[in-house]
Order: sequence, then C-alpha cells, then structure tokens
Amino acid sequence: MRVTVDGERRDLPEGTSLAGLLELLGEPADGRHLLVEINGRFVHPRDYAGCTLREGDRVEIVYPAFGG
Amino acid sequence: MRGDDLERYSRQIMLEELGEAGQERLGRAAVLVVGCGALGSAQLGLLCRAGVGRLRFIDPDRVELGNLHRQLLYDERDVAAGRPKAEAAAAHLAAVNSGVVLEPLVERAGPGNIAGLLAGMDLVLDASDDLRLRYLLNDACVRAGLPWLYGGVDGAGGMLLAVEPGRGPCLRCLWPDPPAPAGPPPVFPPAPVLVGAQQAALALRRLATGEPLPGRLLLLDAWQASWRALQVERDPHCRCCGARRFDFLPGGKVPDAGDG
Repeated sequence: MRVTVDGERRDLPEGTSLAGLLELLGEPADGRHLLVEINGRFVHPRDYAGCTLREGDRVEIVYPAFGG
Repeated sequence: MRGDDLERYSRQIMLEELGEAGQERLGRAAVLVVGCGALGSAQLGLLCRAGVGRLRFIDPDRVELGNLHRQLLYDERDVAAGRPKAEAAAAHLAAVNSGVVLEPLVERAGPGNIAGLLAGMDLVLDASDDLRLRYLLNDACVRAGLPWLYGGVDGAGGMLLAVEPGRGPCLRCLWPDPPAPAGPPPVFPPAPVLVGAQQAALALRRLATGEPLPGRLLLLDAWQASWRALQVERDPHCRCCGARRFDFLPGGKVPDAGDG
C-alpha cells in the first residue's frame, strides 16, 4: 500500500494504522505532541490507533511551531 | 470620536466591517502581547497604529544585533544602548500613536504572574518563543474565558490558531502535550511578520465586532507563498478545556513529556 507522508511516498503493509505509522517514524504511538491530517482532515489524537490508512492517503504531520 | 482620531483612522473607518462603531470599540479594548520579538513587533506596531486603546506587553530580554533582521520595532541605537525590548518598543510605539495607553513590562511571563497579566485584558496575543509558555497561556486564558491567538514560526513556516474558550478547540485539543524543548529554530524574517500581522488582523476583527473567531489552524509557507486553513475540532475529553485541569498553572501537575 502506498501513502504519502509529508510529501514523500512510502510503502506500508496493508492495514497499517496511523499509530503504526507514527511508530515507524519513531514517534510515540500516542502522538500527543503532534497533529495529523489525512487528506486535509484533522485526526484527533485519540483516534490514531483506530485510524487505518488506505492506498493513496496523504498524511501530513504538524508539530507546533515555537519560534517567535 | 475626536476630530484628529477621525482623520487618523479615516481609511480604516471606511471599511464596512469596522466603521466608526468598530473603531470606538477598538479604542476601549485592552490587549496583552506576550513577547516583544518578531511576532510581537508586528502585532504591537499594527495594534498601536490601528488605535487599540490599551496595550500591555511583556518581555525580559534586551535588544540584540541578531534580532534586527526580523524584529521590526527596533534599530541599532536600541542594540547599542542595550535597551530592554519592552522599553524600546514602548518608546517607538509612543512616537507612532500617543493616544494609546502603553504598559511595558520588563519581566518574564510565567505561572507566578500570569493571572495579574491577564487582569483587565480583553484578548491575549501570543508572541513568545517558548512552547511551554504557550501551554501556560492556554491554561490561563481557558480558565479566564479570554480569547487568545497562538502563533509560531519555524524557518519559512508559521502557524496560528484563535482559541475561543468554551466554543472552539484550545491548544491542547490539537497538541495534548508539548514536545520536548529544542534550541532556537531558523527564521526566514518575513514568516513571523506575516504570522504576527495575521494574528493582529484577527485580534482587530475580534475586538471590533465582538464575534468569536473560527477555530482553524492557519498554516503559512512564506517561501512557497501559501496559506492554508485546516479545520480543527474541539476534543470533548481535552484535559484543559474539557476536564478543566490546568496542569501548567500553579498547583497543576505538568506532564513529564517535554519537561523544561
């Protein structure tokens, strides 16, 4: 299954959850310090484990910007 | 409204959305700006010029040479004199609009003084460079029911979110815990100016109309010249605006992640 993560294409096993992807990326699966959008829609952190990725999904990970 | 105010603000009063009534509301409004760096310079300059009645602003730092490329309120004389940013900002702003009441504070905003800083304010603008301070602002503003505008930059990127306590999402609905602290990020100078100006625009709109702002995360890429809006939602189980547990205020229990 191919998905795009932050603009880069990645091959993932079928049925990978969003929490699984975050673990692959080296992030804690609870992802409480990052924000995820899939195909332009905001995903609540509590839904990461139950969110199954699909072929062609575009995933963007947004960290809070702290510079001022 | 005084005659010279009608002249000073004539071009913005012409705006249907603002008008003379909106301008009078701006004149009665009080805003706290937390931080007087690049975001704060942009916000303060615009709010002062637009005639917001009272501006309280706080920053513990002095103006340094490395600030001048992006912090529009300051110049080399401020660096040479080693002036505190809040004082230098007040001097520049007073020369721009003597009708605005300025309350510069040369100190660090923190759990110990945040309640006093918020007292009497109608709205809070985040212009800090510290993510933990933003979680503190979020707690304090949600508890007080005050609207606040988060803004931050990283490189040519930037983002902002209007928090309307009890209506829209708060900072912790989006990012329940702050990431671990990191060193100062690179900054493409127009990014904080654009973010700060957009925060100021929303603040003026909020103050002039009294109408709550939409809960959208605005994402800027100043290099690619793009803004986009991500519709974000309130988390009914949010520790802050849902459960009203104010971990970052005195007596609160701060989560372990991102300690610093």
